[in-house]
Amino acid sequence: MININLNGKKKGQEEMIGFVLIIVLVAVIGLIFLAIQIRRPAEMRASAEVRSFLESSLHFTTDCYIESHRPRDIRGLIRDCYNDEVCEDDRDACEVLNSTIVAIVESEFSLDNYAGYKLEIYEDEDTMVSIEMGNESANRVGKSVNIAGPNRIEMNVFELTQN
Amino acid sequence: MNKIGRQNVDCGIEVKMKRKGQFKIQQMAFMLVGLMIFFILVGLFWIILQRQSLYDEAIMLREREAIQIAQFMADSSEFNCQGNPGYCINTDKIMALDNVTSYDGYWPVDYVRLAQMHPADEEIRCTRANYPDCTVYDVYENEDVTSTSSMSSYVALCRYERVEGYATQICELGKIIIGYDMARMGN
Repeated sequence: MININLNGKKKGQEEMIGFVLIIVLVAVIGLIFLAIQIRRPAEMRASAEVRSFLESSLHFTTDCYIESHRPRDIRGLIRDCYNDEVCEDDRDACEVLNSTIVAIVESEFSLDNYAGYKLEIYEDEDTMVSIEMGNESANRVGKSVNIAGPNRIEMNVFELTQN
Repeated sequence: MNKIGRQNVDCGIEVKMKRKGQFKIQQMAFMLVGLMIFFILVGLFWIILQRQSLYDEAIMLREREAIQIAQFMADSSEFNCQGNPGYCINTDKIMALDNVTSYDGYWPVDYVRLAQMHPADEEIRCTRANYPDCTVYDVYENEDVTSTSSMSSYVALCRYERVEGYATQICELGKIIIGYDMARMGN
């Protein structure tokens, strides 16, 4: 008689645990879904901003002249850096590229408004130029833009986390 | 056991089984009611969230419409850079269209403005007299709309200058800023 009662109690406990497990599982799935829903719009908007920044910056005119009366823009300077060219005033194309990009990025993505950023220019899979400032945070928005041939520019901006 | 005794035992088992069955039915009913309440609560929570996200989505769509106007302007032949399309605006064309009134009331926005961002100088409104030594271009203004919000997108601001006797394209980093009325956009 006692054994029957114990079995009945055990069965009841198992049912309760099962029910709680189902509720926890549904709650976790709901929370994940909720987190994705909340984050998506902000990422889309910021990603458009990074893309427009990268695309527009490629047109920026630098003060480097290479065998031409026309100053190079950043897009041209990336190709020159890839080909190890030197400006008419003996500065290395990669050096000018690096300093110009740093100046533009620092003026637009101030560390007062962002946690940090990382900008990399690739030649195939090798990194030609890498600029990194500030800290990485959980809120990352990034964009990659193909320039020409094997060159690709990629930027990740880390937003300030709200405490 | 006699006949009456056996009947009593059978009756007792039947009553016990009936009670057990009723208890099981009751248990299932409670479980179903509990599940229904749970799903109703989940549904209510979801509806509240959807209502909030609908409002956010409406704002996002209006912003996207403004972004599309910005991109449309940057890509249209009236403003874009020859041979360098995409995220590039020819400021020479902007100055040439300075007093043209054909676009009055054309876009459902309050204003379209271009601002030079890098190199950053003090804010000077562009006129034909001071161009290109200026930083802000008032491209379009619509008196019928009062802006309650604004959005911006990066664009290259390019112009042609004579360098060592050659026409040379000089580009600076700028932003196209659009002021719009959140309630009016999309109507």
